[in-house]
Amino acid sequence: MIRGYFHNDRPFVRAWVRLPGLGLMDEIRFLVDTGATYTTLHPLDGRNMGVPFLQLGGPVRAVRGVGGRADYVGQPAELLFLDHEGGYARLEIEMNVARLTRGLEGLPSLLGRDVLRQWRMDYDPRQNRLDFHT
Amino acid sequence: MRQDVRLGAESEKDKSILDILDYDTLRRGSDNSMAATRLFMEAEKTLLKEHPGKWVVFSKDGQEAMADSIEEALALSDAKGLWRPEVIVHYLDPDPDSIGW
Repeated sequence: MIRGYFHNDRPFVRAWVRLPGLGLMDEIRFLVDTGATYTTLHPLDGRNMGVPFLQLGGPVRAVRGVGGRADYVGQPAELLFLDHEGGYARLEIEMNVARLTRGLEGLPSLLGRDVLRQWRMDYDPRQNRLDFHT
Repeated sequence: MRQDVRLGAESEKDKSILDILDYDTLRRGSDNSMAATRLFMEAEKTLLKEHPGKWVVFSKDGQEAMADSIEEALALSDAKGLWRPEVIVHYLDPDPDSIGW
């Protein structure tokens, strides 16, 4: 079981992320977003990881969201979620990496339905509990 | 979507996260990161009141530093020699209704 947590009433979960095409790896805090089709790395975390935004290649996806339209580049990514019993869940996905866009700077990265659809989520803010059953 | 993507061979691209860092190191990084997050959550209201619109760098031992931009915040984090997973870099958003984390 993977444990998430709430921050300002928003659900988060952590995962180690590796972008093999860019040779980068870091731990990312994802906002759990059932409204997001794709798991997405936003610029704050991208900068933290050292994503070379100017050289970022790959298929571009234009995404229309609550905050407007933004461009993303698909990148192969490995995600590793650690549980508290010595286990883990490991996934390989095509992750959206946001291009540098004004207005996205402070946004959290998103864990989308491409990952969430594979798990069961127990979402219980009253008990301060957010669990993912893989 | 789950994919069995394998890029290249005999290179870093072919390694998984667990080939690069062992489980205990990853676990320690995550635990320290969570500890920093919990400390930050306790301090957030005060920091937001005192430094709205700033970027904060917050470490697991409670050290904090303010910056005007994300670039400056990351530079501060580097200057302190902090391992990124163990540090919170956060925008103190003065708009409570904005979509921030």
